[in-house]
Amino acid sequence: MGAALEIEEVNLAFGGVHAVRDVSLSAEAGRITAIIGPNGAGKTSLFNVISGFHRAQSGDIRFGGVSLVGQPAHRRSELGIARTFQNIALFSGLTVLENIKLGAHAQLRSGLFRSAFYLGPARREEAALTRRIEEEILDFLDLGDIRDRHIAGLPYGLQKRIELARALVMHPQLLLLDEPVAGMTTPEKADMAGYIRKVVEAYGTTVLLIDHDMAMVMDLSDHVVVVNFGAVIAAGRPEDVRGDPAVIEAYLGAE
Amino acid sequence: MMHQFIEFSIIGIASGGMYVLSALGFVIIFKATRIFNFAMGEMMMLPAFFFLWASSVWGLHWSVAVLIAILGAVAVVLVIERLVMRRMVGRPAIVLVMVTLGIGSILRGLAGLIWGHEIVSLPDFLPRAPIFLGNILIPGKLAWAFVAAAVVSGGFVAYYRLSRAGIAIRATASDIITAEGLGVSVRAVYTGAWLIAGVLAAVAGILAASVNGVSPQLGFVALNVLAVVMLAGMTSVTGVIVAGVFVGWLETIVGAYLSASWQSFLPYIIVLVVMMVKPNGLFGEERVERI
Amino acid sequence: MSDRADPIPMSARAGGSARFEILAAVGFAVVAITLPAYASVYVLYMASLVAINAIATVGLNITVGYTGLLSIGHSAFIGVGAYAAGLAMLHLGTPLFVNVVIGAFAAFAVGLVFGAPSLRIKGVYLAIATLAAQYSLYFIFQQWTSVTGGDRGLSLPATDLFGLGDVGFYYGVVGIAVILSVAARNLFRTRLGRSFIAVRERDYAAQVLGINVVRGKLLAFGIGAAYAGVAGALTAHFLRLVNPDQFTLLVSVFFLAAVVVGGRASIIGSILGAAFMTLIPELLREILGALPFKGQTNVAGLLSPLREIIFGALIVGFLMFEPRGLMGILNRLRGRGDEGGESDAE
Repeated sequence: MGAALEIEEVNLAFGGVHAVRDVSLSAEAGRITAIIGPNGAGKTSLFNVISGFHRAQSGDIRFGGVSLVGQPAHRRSELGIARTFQNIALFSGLTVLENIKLGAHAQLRSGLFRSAFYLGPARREEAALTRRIEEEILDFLDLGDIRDRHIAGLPYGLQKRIELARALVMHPQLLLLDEPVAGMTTPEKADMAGYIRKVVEAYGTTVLLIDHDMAMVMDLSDHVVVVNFGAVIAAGRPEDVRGDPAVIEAYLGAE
Repeated sequence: MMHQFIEFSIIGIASGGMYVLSALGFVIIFKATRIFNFAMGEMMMLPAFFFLWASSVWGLHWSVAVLIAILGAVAVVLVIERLVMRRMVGRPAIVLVMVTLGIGSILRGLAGLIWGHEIVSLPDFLPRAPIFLGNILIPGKLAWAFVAAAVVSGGFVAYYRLSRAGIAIRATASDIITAEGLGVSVRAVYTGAWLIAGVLAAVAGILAASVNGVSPQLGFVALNVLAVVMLAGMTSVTGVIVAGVFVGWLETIVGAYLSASWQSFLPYIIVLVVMMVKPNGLFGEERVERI
Repeated sequence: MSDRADPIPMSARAGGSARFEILAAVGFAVVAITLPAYASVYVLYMASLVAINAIATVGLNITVGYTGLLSIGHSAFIGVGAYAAGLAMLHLGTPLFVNVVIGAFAAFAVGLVFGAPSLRIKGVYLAIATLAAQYSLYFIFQQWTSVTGGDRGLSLPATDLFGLGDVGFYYGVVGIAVILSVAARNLFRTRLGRSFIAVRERDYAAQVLGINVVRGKLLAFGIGAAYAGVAGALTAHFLRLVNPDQFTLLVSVFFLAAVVVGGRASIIGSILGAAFMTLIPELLREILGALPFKGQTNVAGLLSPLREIIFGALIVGFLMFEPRGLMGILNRLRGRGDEGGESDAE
């Protein structure tokens, strides 16, 4: 179901900071690839380039063969790319269910007049969406009993899970997870890792994630890329990367 | 022909001087606090009225009256900053802007209640005698207003560039977290920015009123300053000087050669054109958002 | 602080509050329908005025409250609607319901003209553009004498709706207000409305979800202007007079206050806010009339600056102390105050 993401020699500089230097990496279809590195290494900047918020000075990013460079950010979801954010980007003005429904924004049809009258087509569309979310997502991620709660006041770990749920609604082919377990307790992290693996197994989604929790990353990922000062310093299977001297140096040096 | 054009041009540049003062006030608040202060016009208008009070009603010498007016402005600004703005830190930008709008409305209303809505002339303190550059005539008041505005602006820019306070403001504008880490008191910077803006606005208001008279609606002139600020780019202090003079000049030329109505319309045309063509203004910086 | 969307659909709520809302709706309907039977001409007049203002306030709330775009030129769009309707009445003889549509479209189009350049850019630029709209349009209303009648404005014939005169007009206005309010509420139960809220809160996240932020903002702004246009058309019919001084900055501030006081991002709040703001000047006039004044204090002259003070104070006061507005107070009284909570999302 997922496709492969190819990043080729991407460079990004802004405000005097060369955030991403000649980064090349590939995320294999249907696999979990992790990007790790010390803070400020340029990981989120890379994600922002993939998402289309920054325009890279050079290089190419191809997803399923289609080049992403130059396309407006809001087109990403059409291409099957979903993303979560480091500082949870849920909308506090909406309930859990409404937030999740927004994941399907690109797929719904109701425009202005249909929504305003809310009879027939719009209502049916909403009801169908709610049903689909109940069946596919709420149970899958164990969110059923909080679906009508407002976001504010919900525990951090739960909010991260809701953000994941929202990303899943559109059946993404590529899932970009920015620090999916940051700030969680150990059992929560295990749960989250479990959910991520469940998603890949059920839908074959390609997953590219950033995180700092070494244990979780090594355990979960099929492929690991290590980044420092904006450049790739190592890449390979978790066990290979773990022992790589350059990687150890980068982390120790950063202490 | 040419002579007239030059005369108009000089008049325009002279009135631009006053735009520069108020625009500097806008920019300093925006730079330091990211708040777009829609009450700026009223911060110009009130001190003009204070000056009127001090010199007409209490019969004080104009220099004393100016001082009192500035002190009054500072008091008003402190009240605004302490009572209101400080409590709203962290609220979304739209809320802060609405609050300044509300404050402006309150100040306008108060002025209207106290002084009525007629335009009143200020007692003369700027020499009226016209100034001749060669055979070009410049109205005396305007010329001296320009000189005063230039001196105050120059003083402010020097202070901004050279003093520790100025550096603190620039640091906060650039990166709040780092600035705080370096020991800059962001609170003090905020208060300082408002105070400076208050003083600049006071001087600008008194000067503008001395040329055109004062009324509670004087604040609407500040909206013309919006055009200056936008043209300059919201954050450029030097840009404001260029833009202010240019807009003042353009307005006078348009008023002289087209009509008074076009003249009042001009700032809004400038605003719309700037937005369409160069949203960050001529000298503004593109702000990179950290997501 | 949390800018809440309208409460989620009734069916998803616990039975208690759904019952309350149905009761409230029924009660309102009963009062609204029977009002002409026992109310004086003055009360009917005020009710019609509140309905018109409610329409404009709901529109502004869609733009400001739900989508987070600051518009300081709302009264100018009301003016566009009023002039469009007035001109249609005079030159085309069209009836009220047609004029309302004309007003909506005219205001929508003008709204797009001013919105388009500024919505591509972030931040406060829209506010400045709307201010520019306010003054430019006033300028046009005033100067384009051949079309708008300049300062004198347009004088319009009476409207007789359903053959019932003032009562007919009242029903027409209230009916339109109800339809538009329900439409707005429906908007926020569905995809489009949700996207507006998303745009307000975090537009980068909205983009990632496939929402075209610029187009969304433009639409939200245009819809707000369209509602203003409807209110303007109704005003033209109501007052039988359209002139530039009805559409000043003070009026825009009035509607902003109505949104803030009633409750941002709330349809019912908009209606409450409109009612509150409409009644304030009346209350003011009564109070001033009742106070003993010595000498020749010009009471009428006091009215305008007093309004400026009160509107400004309401905006500042509510934003500082009751950010959820009257709707928030109402919710607190109903024991649902903590839903949604206070989260300084920014």
